[in-house]
Amino acid sequence: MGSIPTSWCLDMTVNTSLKNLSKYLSLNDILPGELVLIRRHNATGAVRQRFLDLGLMPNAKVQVVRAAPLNDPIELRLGATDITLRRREAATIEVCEDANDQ
Amino acid sequence: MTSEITIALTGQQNAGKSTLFNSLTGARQHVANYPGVTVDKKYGRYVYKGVSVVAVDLPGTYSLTSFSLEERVARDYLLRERPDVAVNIVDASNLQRSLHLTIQLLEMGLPLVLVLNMMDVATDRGVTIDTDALEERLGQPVIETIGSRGRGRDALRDAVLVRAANVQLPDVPVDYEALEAPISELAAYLERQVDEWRVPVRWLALKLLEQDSQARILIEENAEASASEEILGFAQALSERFETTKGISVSDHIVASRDSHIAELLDGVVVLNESGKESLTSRIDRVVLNRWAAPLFLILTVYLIYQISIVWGYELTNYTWPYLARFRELVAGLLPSAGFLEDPYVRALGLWLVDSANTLLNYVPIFLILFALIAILEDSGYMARIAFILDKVLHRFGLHGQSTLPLILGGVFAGGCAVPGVMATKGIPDNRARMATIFAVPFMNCLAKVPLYTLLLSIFFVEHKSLMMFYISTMTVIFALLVSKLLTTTVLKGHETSPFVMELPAYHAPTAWGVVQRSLERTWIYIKKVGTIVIAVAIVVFTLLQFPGLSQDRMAHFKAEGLGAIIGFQENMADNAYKALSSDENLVALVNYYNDYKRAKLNASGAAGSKAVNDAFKKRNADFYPLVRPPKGDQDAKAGGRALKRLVNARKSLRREMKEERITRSFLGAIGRSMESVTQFAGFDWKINVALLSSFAARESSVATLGVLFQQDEDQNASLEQRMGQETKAGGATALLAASMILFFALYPPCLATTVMVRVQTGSYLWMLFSILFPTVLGLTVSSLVFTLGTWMNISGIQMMTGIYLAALALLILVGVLGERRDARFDRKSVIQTGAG
Repeated sequence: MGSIPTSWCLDMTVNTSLKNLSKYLSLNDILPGELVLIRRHNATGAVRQRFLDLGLMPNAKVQVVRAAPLNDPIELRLGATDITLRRREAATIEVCEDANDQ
Repeated sequence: MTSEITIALTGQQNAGKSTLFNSLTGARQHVANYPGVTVDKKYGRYVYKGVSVVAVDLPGTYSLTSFSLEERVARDYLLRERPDVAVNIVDASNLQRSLHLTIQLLEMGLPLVLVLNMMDVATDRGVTIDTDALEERLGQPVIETIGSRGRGRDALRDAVLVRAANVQLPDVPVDYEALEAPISELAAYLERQVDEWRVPVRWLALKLLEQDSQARILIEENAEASASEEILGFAQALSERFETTKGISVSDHIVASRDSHIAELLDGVVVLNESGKESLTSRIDRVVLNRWAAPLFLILTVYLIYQISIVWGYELTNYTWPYLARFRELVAGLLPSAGFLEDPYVRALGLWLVDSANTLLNYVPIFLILFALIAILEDSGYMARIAFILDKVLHRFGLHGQSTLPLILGGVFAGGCAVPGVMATKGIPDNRARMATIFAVPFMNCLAKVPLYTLLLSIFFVEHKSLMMFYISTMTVIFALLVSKLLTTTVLKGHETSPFVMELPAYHAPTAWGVVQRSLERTWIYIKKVGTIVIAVAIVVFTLLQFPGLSQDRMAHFKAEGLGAIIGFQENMADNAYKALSSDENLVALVNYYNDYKRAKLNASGAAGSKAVNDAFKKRNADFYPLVRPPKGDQDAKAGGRALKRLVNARKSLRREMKEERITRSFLGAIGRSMESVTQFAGFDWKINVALLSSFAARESSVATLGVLFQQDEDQNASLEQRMGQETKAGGATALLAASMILFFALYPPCLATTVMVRVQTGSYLWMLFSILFPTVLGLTVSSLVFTLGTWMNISGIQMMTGIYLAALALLILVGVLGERRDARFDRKSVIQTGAG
């Protein structure tokens, strides 16, 4: 995703004592109500295409709305659209906090 | 000049495409399949300003890649059939995302009309769109519509005609910057290799650089084998070079370029005035999807569907059944009349077919209601929420959130049909889950299983009826979940899976027309698919039951008995004033007249109906009439009537004995007996085997066949419950046998119509065979376990049923908990909560 300006995103570092986690937060780690920016996907093929189709593109602003009654899947709001996806897939999407929103 | 043009409707699933298609074409629609695939091809026709327009409703897609079947189908249609106009329907409140598809259509060189649908929703959300400016920037006509209210329909029809008359093709819209050089290089190369491509060369070059699998096929079709290899090699080299120098994949670069192009297009065109007010959809969802309230709303919804369609629908069949009964009478009147002992085959077969068809048609009111309610759920947007709520549970057992609809159609609680259920699995994007759903749906309680349950419960479980009904209706769900888990971890393991990523559409009120139409459409498919197969199998079963027939000895015996009864009747009538009626010529007609009269009286309702029957029969034969309804004080008529009744009864019991002997000797009887060696462990004798075999045609026939096998002399007037109860209990049958039968019936393979649908949806006869064999083995195993174990331990049917139920439930929970542990790593870690906060 070299052409996407993510410099402020790159500054976003997470407490490194959290092992077994990637350097960045994934969408799976975001609490309901929080607003984040998508940094990049680690999905490929059809899943990636599906994300792109639904507007889950790098730099898109996403809000986690709620988790399903059994905690999985989760619901996202992206502009005027509500999207649902499982935590397993949410974990493949790297996000960072929206700098403009702070 | 009369002319015809073809238009193709494209757009995303939730952009209101179907509603707009309906409002454009009205009732003149047809559904077919695209060649070789199970995607529906819907087309309709309308005439506007003297031009006949064929409208094709393409599958709803977000884009036109080759990742999904729907997208491939839609793209192939657009490329190969080249419609005169592509009507691109987009959700007006979501333009930034929707225009990605628009750009792809323009790049395919399709003359376009862009339809901004659901303008009302957009306005509510504070979105204002400068349509004229958009039209100018896009270079294509842009129309505003509100499909649900039919607003903008004629403007769209006008725009289509204008666009079709204008031959100018769209310009290349997007500047791909760094990718432009490879695109032109490849396009020039393509033009050198082949004189005339049937697709736009720039589009093809772009797709090749993206390494799209379908584009490769296009090359192989259009170019010589050697040339196509060269082209593909060249494209791959270009694409790899781009990716290494730019550090981004071609497809990501393309999406990013399109996205920024769209942002430029919409800059100043779309203005968003956020009122700060929460949208209606999110306000509803805050309640309906609330963690605690969501399950309650879900249960309430399913309960309402059950109550309205199954319970009330069943009551409705009381009003529709008389029409079917009248239809049977009509056919019976047209067929050659019955003989004294043997009926002509045409009559027997004809009535058998009408009975088979009637049992199916009897369910039509239920299906109309059920399908209408489900259409409302789908159109309103709640169906997607059900998938959201249930995905976790279903996924744990190898299914998918979107398996909910097929399971509901199949009859989660009591009543549904596996045929539309299996059909509805088409919408599940995850292949493995889709296959598992196909095999799970037939375990649901289809409407036709209910009569057998009711029959067995009222014989053997009178005291525990409601508990048993609870066991039956919930156990099927437990078994379906366990079976899907078993299948997805074994035979289906190799099947491709895909994730659960879907849109939760905004709520909106369904249109009455859309709901009615979908309900009619699905019911019609049920009648057509099920009807033809049931008729075909009914003929086979009839033949297997009729032949080889009675031996000559036995036939002679029955004939002698029949003759004895006739002679007895004639002797009784010797001194009677109505003696002439007992002559040999009159005899059969008189007996049939008597039977017809009695049956007509039984069907007639009220004093007026009864009088109408009397009048009709007086008119049909005034001579016979006194014997069926003796006039007051006419002693001869009374005595004659009694004698006739004796004759009719003698005939009936003879015919019953003949039928029983015929079935016993029949091919199906022989098959049933040969199966006893296996089925004895489940407690099934040959009669039950025959009933189960014939129920393969359609479940309804199991009760009907049991009815024949446990026949009564018709004057006995005992219900099938009583007769079966007497006979089976006399034969040592117990509630344990009934439990074994119920369990087998719950797990029993789908009816033939369903297996044919399985064949259609899986595209394989092997899977169809599997869908028959697997449940048979499973059902027989469980039933044998229940019967043999229960007999050995000497426990009652209800105890055994409770035992099996609890065991299945325990297994379900165990499997569920094991899955939980494996999935735990994807749950949000509590550490992060503090870390991010």
